[in-house]
This record gives sequence, C-alpha cells and structure tokens, in this order.
Amino acid sequence: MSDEILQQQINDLLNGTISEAEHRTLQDRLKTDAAARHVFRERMDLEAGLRTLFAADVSDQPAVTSPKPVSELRRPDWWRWRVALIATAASIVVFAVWWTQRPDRARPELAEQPRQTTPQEIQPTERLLGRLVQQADCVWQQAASLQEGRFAPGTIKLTSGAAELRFDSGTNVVLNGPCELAIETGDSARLLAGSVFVDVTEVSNGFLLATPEAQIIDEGTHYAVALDSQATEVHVFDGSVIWTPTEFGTDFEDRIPSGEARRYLRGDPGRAHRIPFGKRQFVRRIEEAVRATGGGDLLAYDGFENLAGQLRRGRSGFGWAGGWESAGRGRGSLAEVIDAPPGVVFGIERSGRRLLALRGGDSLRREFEKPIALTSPSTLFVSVLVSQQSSVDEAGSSLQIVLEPASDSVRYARRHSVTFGISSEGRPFVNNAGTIDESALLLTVGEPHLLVFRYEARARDAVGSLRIYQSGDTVEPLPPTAWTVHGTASPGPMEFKSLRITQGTGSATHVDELRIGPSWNVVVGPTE
Amino acid sequence: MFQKTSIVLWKKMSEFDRDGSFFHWACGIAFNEVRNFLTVQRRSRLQFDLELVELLAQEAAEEESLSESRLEALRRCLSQLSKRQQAILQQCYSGTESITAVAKQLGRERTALYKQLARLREKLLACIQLRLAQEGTS
Repeated sequence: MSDEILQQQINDLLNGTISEAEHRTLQDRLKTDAAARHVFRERMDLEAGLRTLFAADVSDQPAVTSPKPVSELRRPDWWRWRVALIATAASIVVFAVWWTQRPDRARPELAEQPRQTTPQEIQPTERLLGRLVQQADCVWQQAASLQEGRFAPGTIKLTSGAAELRFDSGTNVVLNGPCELAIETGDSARLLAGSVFVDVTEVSNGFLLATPEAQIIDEGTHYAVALDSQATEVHVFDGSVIWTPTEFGTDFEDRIPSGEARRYLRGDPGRAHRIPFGKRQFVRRIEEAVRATGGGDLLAYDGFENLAGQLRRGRSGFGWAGGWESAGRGRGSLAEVIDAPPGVVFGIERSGRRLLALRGGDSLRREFEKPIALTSPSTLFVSVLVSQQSSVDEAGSSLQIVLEPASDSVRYARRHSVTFGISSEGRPFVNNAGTIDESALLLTVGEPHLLVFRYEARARDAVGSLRIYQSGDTVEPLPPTAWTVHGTASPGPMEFKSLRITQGTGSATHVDELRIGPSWNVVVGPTE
Repeated sequence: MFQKTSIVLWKKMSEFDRDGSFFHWACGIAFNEVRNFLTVQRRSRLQFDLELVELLAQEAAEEESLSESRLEALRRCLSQLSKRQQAILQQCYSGTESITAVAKQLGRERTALYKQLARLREKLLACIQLRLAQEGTS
C-alpha cells in the first residue's frame, strides 16, 4: 500500500467520506505498520494543532470575513498552553472518531461506489483510479500507468491524438496530444504539458488540476487548460473554477466563470489576463476526435460509452437528435452497457471500452440529427461490430439493424425499411424494402464480426450489400469487389430518419462502434 | 471530544502534581474520555477499535516533544500563508461552523472547499517537515 493511498484514506477519514472497507483497511494497516502510524500521527497533530490555534480565542472572534491574523494568535499562559498541548495529544487519538461522528458529516457518495476489480496484471500495491475509455489516433510516449484499459497513479505522455480518461471518482479528462499529465490521486492530477479538457460530472465530488504554478479547483464544471512555455490558459465552458497560485503566501485567488477565459504568465501567476473565450480549440469530447478521424464526414457515430444510467442517456456519440429509446412496446430500461473484452479487434482497441449488450427482445431506436437524404446516385455506409453471445438456430433470434425511412406513415416506413443483420440461423442477410437475400456463411457464436453495409441509391432503384469480416480478416482500405451478401435491387427509400436495432427473443448480441457515413473509408477507417 | 476533554482537564487541574509529567497525566485523562466516548458510540459504524486507539495513544505519549515541535512549526508556517488562506482555515477550524456553512459563506461549493483545505494541509505539512528537518527535530 503506497503512501498516496494512506494519505487518501486519512483525507477521506477527515472528510467523513471514508467507506467501511477503506476504514477497515486503514485500521489494519495502522495496527501493523509503524511508519503509517507515524504519518497518521503527523496528520492528526496538524489537525489538532489547527483546531488548537484557531479555537483558542474563538469566543471573541469577529465575523469570519475579518480573521484574527495568525501572528496575533499569541502563546497563551503556561496553563492554557499546556491545555492546548494536551488537547492536541488527546485529539490524536480521538480525532478520527470525532470526525466520523460529527453532525455535519455528509454521506459519502464515492465511498459507497463499488470498487472496480483489480486486473491480475496490475500490482496489488497500485491503486487503480479509473479507465481509459476512448482514444483516437493516439501515439503514446509513456503510458506505464495504463494497463488493460485501467490507469494507476503515474505520468502519461501522449505524443499525438486524443484520449479520454474516466476517473472512478466521476471526472472525465480528455488529453489532447501532445500532452503530459501526472495522475496523482483519484480526484487530482497535474498537467505538465499540453492541454486537457476536464468534465467534472454531477456524480463527482470535485477534481483538482494542478499546473506548474497554480491549482485549479472546480465548482461543478467543464473547463479546459492549456500550457505553453510562457503561460497557462484556462477556458471555462460551464460552471466556474478557482485559480489559486501555489506559491506560499500568495494572496491571490481568481474565480473564472462560465464563458470566460484567462491567461496567467508563468512568472506572474497572481495576475489574470482576460483573453477571448474559446480561442483555443480543445477536444471536449472524444467523439469529436473520432469525427475528426473520419475526416469530418461521419454522419452519425456511437461507441456506446455513455449509455449506462439515466444521467447519460442520449449523451453518447454524435449525429443524433436525442438518445436511444425503446422501440418495443414496453417503456422499460434500455439495453445494458457493459465492459468490452480487452484486445484489438479490426484495428480498434477494445481495452477499457464499453459496448451495448442486447438481450433477447431488446429493441432500440435513435433518430438522426437530420434525416439522411440521398441523391441519385449516392451511397450510404453503415459499419458495426457485432458478437453473438448465445446459440441461435431458433425462430425469432435474429439481429436486425434497420434504416428507417422518413415517413409519417407507419405502414410505409415498415414496408420500406432497409435492414441488415444476422438471421436466426446465424447467417448474414440483407432485406431491401421487403426483398431478402441471405448468405450461406454461418457466423460463429462468441466471435467478433465487423459488418459493413452499403446502400447504393441509383436512378430507379437501390441496392444493399453486406460485407462480413471475421476475426483475423484484414479490412480492405477500399470497398471490396466481392460482398458477403449482395442484395436484390428494389425501389428503396431515399431518406432515412432513424436507425433501429432489434434483437430477437431467443439470443443475445454485443454491438459496438456504430458508424454511418457516405464512404467506405469513413466508416471503416482506423480509429487508433 | 476535543472540547469535552479540555473541560475535564480544566476541572481536574487541581489534581495535577506539578512535579510530575503534565503530558502523561493529561493523556491519561484524555484516553479515559476517548474510551468512554467509544463505549457510548459502540453502535456507530466507523471507529477505530480500542487496541488501535491504545497503540496510538501510547505512541503519541512517546512523541510528546515532537508534537510540541510540530505545533510550534505549524504556528510559524501559518504565518507564511496569505491572509485569505488563514481566514479560510480559521473559519473551518474554529469549530463553530460546519464546512457546509463555511462554504456557503465563501460562496463556493463544499467539495471545492474540501479540495482547498486539502492543499493547504499539504502545504503546511511540507512546511512543518522542512522546519523540523532544519532544526534536526524530525
């Protein structure tokens, strides 16, 4: 157990946010580790000392806005001094109890959150603080603290690309390469170079970002920080932050509200320079980096990173009008989002990612931000990662991915939908407005497959084709000449308003990395 | 507990033998108070058990002079803080207001105040350690 963990546990103890398990761990360590007890007593001496000094003349303290200077906290007479001293000693043994019992103690939100399971590959002494949820075009120079999609305290250097770290404490940090970040604790980090975007979510208890010359304390916020050789820039998108220089004795504090930006020179962090807000371009969400990877041509994307829970419903991906909604009769919970298995699949790093786990009978619909209107001729591509999780070959267990036409008529929309997917027998199929074509290929349950669907709108009709990639296949950089399923041409719709995913009742499927775009390379292009 | 222990010490001051160790005498009283407190609070969910409390108390008594040095160093380190930082500490440690109330008065989030307090403590600890090292006390 590192000192960082010990310090964090003592902090949690003092703040009243320690969990029962952590309290037990702390107690066990203190019983057996003399050095830890030394650290603990040092902290308790500090706490008790502060109480002693500031409580000594509390009865005649004026309003809080005019504190008595420390220099005026004179040493009391011998007896008072001795009492203060012994109260200090007493506090050493009672402080933990006092703090955990104090009336204003808030229920610890973080303390009640379940801890993530530690992967075997990571040393038990390292504290896992969160996960690397997404990355785009990342070239890492130093990423020792990143293991199996999780991260521990340490310094990470990102040469290029963008990566999103999600702290278990509820804060998301997007690194915009080149960037160097020292992860210190579960709710604090130190930016050493480059820029980051920080999203302190509503479930977080706060996040502290240190720079070479100051600390930035959030007040429930979205903000971005960029370092250069001369200065630090802070842009606040939502909420506010407090900038406090770290130099001892500096009596400067700057609150930066939403919609404003400041620049602080390295040698004079106590003076704020207002700068135009948003002048710098920060990667605020990793999806923006993915969008950039697609040359800005991706029409819609969902990595299913944020679907879990009510709070983030509708927040994942881009190119959508709202969130996923149930397309079934019931209005129950949406499909689950779970951890993706680690490893690289078709060039996509899956470690630390999430995916959509469809159960039998799940049916979800999401509307596009704007209806996708096709001209004649034009082409639309859809790619998606799919892995069947249970045995098939029983009626009603197909996976259907449906492009739904823009129409006020439910009957028309149903009859003119364009569908691709995996049949109940486990065979890829295309259903172009009622004309079904199926492949003889039988997909293996449990194996990941990349499905790429092409919809060609022609002068008089349209045709759908489906290419299936299996594990070990190389994805071509250009559209293939041979397709797994080549659909029959039929008069198809020219405008789509939504996409539906429906899982038959008899099976379960994992779905991820849904991309919709106008060209092959946009939907299958590398994400790393 | 802090206040109650202080009051008990005041009340029992007449019983103190001035030729003996005040620290050890007072620690004994404080320990009894803690034990009583733990007994009353036995049903509470999170508290150190008596074995650990005894161990900490024993070692605290052995570190009497070090604690004294730390307190003196703290006094000096506090004077190096800005007036605003001192004011924040005073409000939080005066014992008259909850952290929530102080945060409200300062017009900031409670969690943000916790963060600032944590950093101030870090600063003070580093300062104290430096001073003690310079004095050869630690």
